[in-house]
Amino acid sequence: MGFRIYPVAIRWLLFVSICMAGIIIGDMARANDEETVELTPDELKELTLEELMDVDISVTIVSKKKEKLSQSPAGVFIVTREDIRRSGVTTLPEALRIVPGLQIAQIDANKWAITSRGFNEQFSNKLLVLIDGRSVYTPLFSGVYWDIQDTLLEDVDRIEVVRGPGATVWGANAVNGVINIITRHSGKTQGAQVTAGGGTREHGFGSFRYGDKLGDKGSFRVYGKYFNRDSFETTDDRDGFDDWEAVRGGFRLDWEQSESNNFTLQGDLYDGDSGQEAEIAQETFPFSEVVSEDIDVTGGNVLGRWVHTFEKGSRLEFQVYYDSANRKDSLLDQEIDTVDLSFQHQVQWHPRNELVWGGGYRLIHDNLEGTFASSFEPSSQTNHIVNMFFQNDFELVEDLFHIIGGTKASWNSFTEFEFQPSLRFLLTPGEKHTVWGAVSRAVRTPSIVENRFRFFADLSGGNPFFGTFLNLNGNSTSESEDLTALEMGYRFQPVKSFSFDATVFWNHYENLVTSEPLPTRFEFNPPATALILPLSIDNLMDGESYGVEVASKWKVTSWWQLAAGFTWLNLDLELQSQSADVISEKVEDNNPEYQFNVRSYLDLPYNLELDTAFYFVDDIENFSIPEYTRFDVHLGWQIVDWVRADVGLFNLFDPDHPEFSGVNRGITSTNVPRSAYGKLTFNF
Amino acid sequence: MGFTCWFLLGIADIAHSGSLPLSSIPVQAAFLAKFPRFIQWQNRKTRTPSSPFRFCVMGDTRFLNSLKSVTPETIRNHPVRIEWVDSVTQATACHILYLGSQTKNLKGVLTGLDGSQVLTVSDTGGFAEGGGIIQFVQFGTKVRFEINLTRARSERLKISAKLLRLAFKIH
Repeated sequence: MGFRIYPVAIRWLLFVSICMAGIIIGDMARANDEETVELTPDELKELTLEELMDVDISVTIVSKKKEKLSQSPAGVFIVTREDIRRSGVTTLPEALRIVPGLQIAQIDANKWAITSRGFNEQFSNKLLVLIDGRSVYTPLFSGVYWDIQDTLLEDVDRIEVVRGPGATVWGANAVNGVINIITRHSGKTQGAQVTAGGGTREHGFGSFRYGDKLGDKGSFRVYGKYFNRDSFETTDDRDGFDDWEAVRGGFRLDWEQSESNNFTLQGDLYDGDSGQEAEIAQETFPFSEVVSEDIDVTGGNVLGRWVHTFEKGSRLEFQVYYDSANRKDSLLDQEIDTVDLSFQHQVQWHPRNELVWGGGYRLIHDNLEGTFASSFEPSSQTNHIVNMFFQNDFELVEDLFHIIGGTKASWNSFTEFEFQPSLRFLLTPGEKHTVWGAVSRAVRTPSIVENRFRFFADLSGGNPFFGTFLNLNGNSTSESEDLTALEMGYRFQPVKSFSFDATVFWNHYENLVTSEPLPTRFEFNPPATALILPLSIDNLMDGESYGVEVASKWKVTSWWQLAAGFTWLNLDLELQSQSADVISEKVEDNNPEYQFNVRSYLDLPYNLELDTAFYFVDDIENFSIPEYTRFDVHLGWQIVDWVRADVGLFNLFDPDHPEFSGVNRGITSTNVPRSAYGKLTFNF
Repeated sequence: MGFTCWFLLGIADIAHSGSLPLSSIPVQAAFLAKFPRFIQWQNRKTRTPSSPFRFCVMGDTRFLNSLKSVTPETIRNHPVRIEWVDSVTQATACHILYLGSQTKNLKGVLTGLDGSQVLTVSDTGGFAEGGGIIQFVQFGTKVRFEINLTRARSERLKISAKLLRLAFKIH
């Protein structure tokens, strides 16, 4: 079955090759170096002419083009390399915990529920997550399998998080936010690095990375990593069978032949076992079984990007990737292959007008071998998504007022045409203040589950005579969920060492997914008899949410930094009058109403770093998860140039606590325990 | 297929060359502050050791502010002065004049400065070709500059070989 996509993939790859060969014969170039560097005037003053020629005058975010953070007309937060190192985290999802507006909740040792601005679930489906431009949410649920999203954390340059709709430029699924994980240019990861460590939760982990030059115009790195993580305990103190082991390797190659042509080629391969305890329905008595098993996850991806800069400064970017993800447990054996092509062009076509426009095509082929409990009708399909977008930034009053408007038009196999426009303004009265506002529309197109799922959950309660099943059915006429969002933000930076950033938003949702009951029926399929309570996916719910997100940083002295984040969120869902759904409305209570965190980064003598973080997360009413606080400590010591030691202590004042529930997915959730680890890093 | 590719590139070439983005202003200012090291003025501009070395700015207040934070205290032992100028008359005494995007009658200013030994710099499109001496251009996300050597020579400004070598284009 998997073969069917190759002819198409090869045709598209051929297209790319012809484009590249035809336009720049033999030209290869280094990918745009996307290091976020802010230079102070004092630093600028010290640079030589040659160094000045290398200064990048912007950073990427929000409009898929480079733009200064303080001038982004959106709710933006950047997790820096320093934040990742100083929080001591060992996984990507944990690195997101500091971001205001996001909800990060661990379900078991290898599963997270992560969302922006509400609707949290294991497969929160209104968030777009990208790693180096590759979309990593699964088209199955439109959610993210966080256990397979990984790389060397040392090689992550930054994580850019945009809360709120980013659909005009970023596309489908960017309804409530975009998370863009960006790895470092290979020229910045040269030499050999070896790490090794272990601890209470981390049974053992290690990694290597080697980077070198390729001639005088290119560079590359290769890496490999392995970890083995312990299981957590359930609320009733049993083992959760959620131990987690994975091995992963990859490469990145950057080439620059001329200053106008940059080329990047990168890829990863992984193989992992993610443990879980799950309840799975079966046709015959006892009608369900609790299994403790390892989900077998394997996959890989390869991505190529070409950036061409024209003499007059306009920039054309062309990207193609292939991604394959396979996942097998007792419920489902899934293979999903994706081929994606996109381009975007950024051009200043008038002194005060800058246009970004582009388009893309994505092909998704799935092969879903189900079981009685969970199957898909049909079990294999190929879907296509085509999109075009444009966004223009008009500087209405110089240095003071910008109007940014644009739309995305997309076509997909499920719901056909969708339009996602947005209109923003940016007001910069002086360098210290920035005010922005936006009104946007975004849609979330139905996932494979909403269209083709056949799911059975056991409600028999041990009845030996006949089974009782809740039966959820996808609906091929599912519609997109619609969002209209109003947002406003204010940034204040009175001095270089202090910044404050606040965002308020009001979201109005329509056509949210519901599960509508159909007539109950008896089925006689000897040897078993079953009472079926069927539900069908529909779009009969509306909702409103509003909230406040605040982030602040203060560099108290040259050796001490403080940072804080605050989130307040309220979500009200309301079923439409013709709906008879009894579960979907409860999702409004899947999120903590209040969250805040305070972090301190302290530099001590002898190259020591002592970092602490405190988190408060309000209760989650729907699952009766109580509020919790968490206190983490990280100690880093650069012993000599080439040896570094790190110690991480998590949940220091709390033996364990639950953060979320897996009950809606039949997954046994476990408690997040206190943990500690140590790590050594060698650089050669 | 090939057509699509050429089409894309064709669009890009139509791109109008206006001023550079605002975020480039501090970098341009840092360049400007370095230029005097690579340029020789005739003595009549700074007659006595106490006469100032004049950086002047016209038509961009933001540039003026950026420039203030990157200039050295002295240049060749002359104290540095940064001035805002509105007219050609004021500008003739300058060593370097930056002409911002709000400058009115750019052509007229350039003509008016004929023979007054002022190093004119701007990021306005077509500046170097149109009689200015140094023009900042954007190359990708980096700042580069073009030099009109003919005009520099006619103004009796000597530009060092190193600066010429780093220039993106010489007219």
